Amino acid sequence: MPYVVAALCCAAAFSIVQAQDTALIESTSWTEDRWQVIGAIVLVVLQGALITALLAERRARIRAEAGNLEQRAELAHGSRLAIVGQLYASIAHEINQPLGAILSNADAAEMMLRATPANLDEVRAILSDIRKDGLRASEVIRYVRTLSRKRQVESVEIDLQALCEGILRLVAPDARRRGVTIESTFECPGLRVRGDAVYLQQVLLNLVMNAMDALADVPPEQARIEVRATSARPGEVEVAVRDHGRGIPQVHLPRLFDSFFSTKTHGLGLGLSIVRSIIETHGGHVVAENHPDGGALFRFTIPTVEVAPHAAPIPMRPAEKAA
Amino acid sequence: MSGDNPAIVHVIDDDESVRTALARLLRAAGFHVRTYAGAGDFSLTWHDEGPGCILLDVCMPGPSGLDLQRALAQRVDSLPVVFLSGKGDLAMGVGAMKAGAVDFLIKPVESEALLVAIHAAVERDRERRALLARNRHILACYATLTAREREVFAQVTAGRLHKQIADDLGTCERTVKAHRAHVMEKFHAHSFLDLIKIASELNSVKATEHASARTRDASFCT
Repeated sequence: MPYVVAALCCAAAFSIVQAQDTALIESTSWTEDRWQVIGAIVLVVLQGALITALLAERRARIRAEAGNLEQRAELAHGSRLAIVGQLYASIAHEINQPLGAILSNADAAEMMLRATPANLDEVRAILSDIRKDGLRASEVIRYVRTLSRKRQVESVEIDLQALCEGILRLVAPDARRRGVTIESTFECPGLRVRGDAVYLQQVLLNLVMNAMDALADVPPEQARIEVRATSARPGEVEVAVRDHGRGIPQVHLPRLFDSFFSTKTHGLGLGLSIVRSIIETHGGHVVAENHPDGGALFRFTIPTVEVAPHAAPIPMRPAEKAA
Repeated sequence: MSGDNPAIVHVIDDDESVRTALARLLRAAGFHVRTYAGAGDFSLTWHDEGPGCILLDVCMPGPSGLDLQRALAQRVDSLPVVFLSGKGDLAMGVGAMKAGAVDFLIKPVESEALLVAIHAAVERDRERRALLARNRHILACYATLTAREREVFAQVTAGRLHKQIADDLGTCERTVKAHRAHVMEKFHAHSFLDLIKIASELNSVKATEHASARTRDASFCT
């Protein structure tokens, strides 16, 4: 567009000069300078148009870039919603469990109050448990809502172990239903990374769900997933998700992280490409390979945040163990 | 509740708060309750303490509720099972019911529905125990019969006349009548009709024993 305007501008200037040469008119000051004045005005107008066009183009480019970012965030959000959707049964289970306990507790309390003498101590214990279970259910909903909300990438300090454990707790009922055991090892407790918790959760969720899919048709004793976080190099943590399935066919390895590449019948082929873009945004990298002893191995790294020596890390324990 | 001593409900669920809540509810409804954190825990510690039933979660770490049901089905003294599942899976429910579950309930469950199912299961266990005791009694009585009495018992209940039996056994009718009287006395039968009922019960007991022995042999072979 601006080039067209520039060309027009040149053509106009040229025609003005030509017109001037061929003009055979009386020499008053207006008739003498008429064409120069008109030419100058046209030039100024054209230059203005050119500048305006360039400015408009720049604005459009900025908007397109922002749109691109937004689109990527949208895509990641869509993929996250899809994966949370897959976890529907797991989430329903995690909410139903405390709700069931609340119902039974409430009915038991009612029966106890009807009895004579009423066992008030037990009823008090029941009330305290009802409160606890109510909080537990709302905690699950809050967690899922954070995961499903549309959001911009933010950068905060995150406790990696707590983040991993949160995800593993969320997928646990689903894993149990599929007969899959998930073992997790954290060799670096209290390690903190900088990034966006929801996006990193999405990465882990994606890899673990993929691993579970890979174990769909293996014997039960083989249906194991190992999640391991190691800090092999200073300033970097590596998280590895390994399954004991059939591994990835060699021909698929180079294209695994491409968009729209999928071997699943119901897959869109966006999960792993989003995983890679999230990890790269965090300044890390992700690789997929086959483990020498069988099964697929996905590893990703993220830079860690230096912890001040006096700030002793508090090892996080899974909530279910603490309960 | 029927019976003198309260029935024992064995609650198996990996979720502690669910387990505690169910135990409270069942205790308030007058049952004795034992709780277990998993199928393995139950298998290791359970011993028969009287009539009762099992309230079983499906999805648990380690062996699932369905695995436990399958394992229990091999036992003669297994308790009736009521499933309380975290999710309503139709195929799972049908499978469990076909394998003999009393009911398949979905969490969160209405206490009323739960208690109805538990009562039904306990009732089934009481009936099973009564039947077992009756069978044991009949077998014990049968064991006290002499060889000749057994022969007379079999023929009499098959509808043959005393005369025919006497001819077969090469004795007189009076001896056969005496044997029959002994048989009735040993079975505590008040009438001939009682004796016929006992004979058919005995036949079905023997048939089931035979069948279970055969399946046992078959499972040894495989």
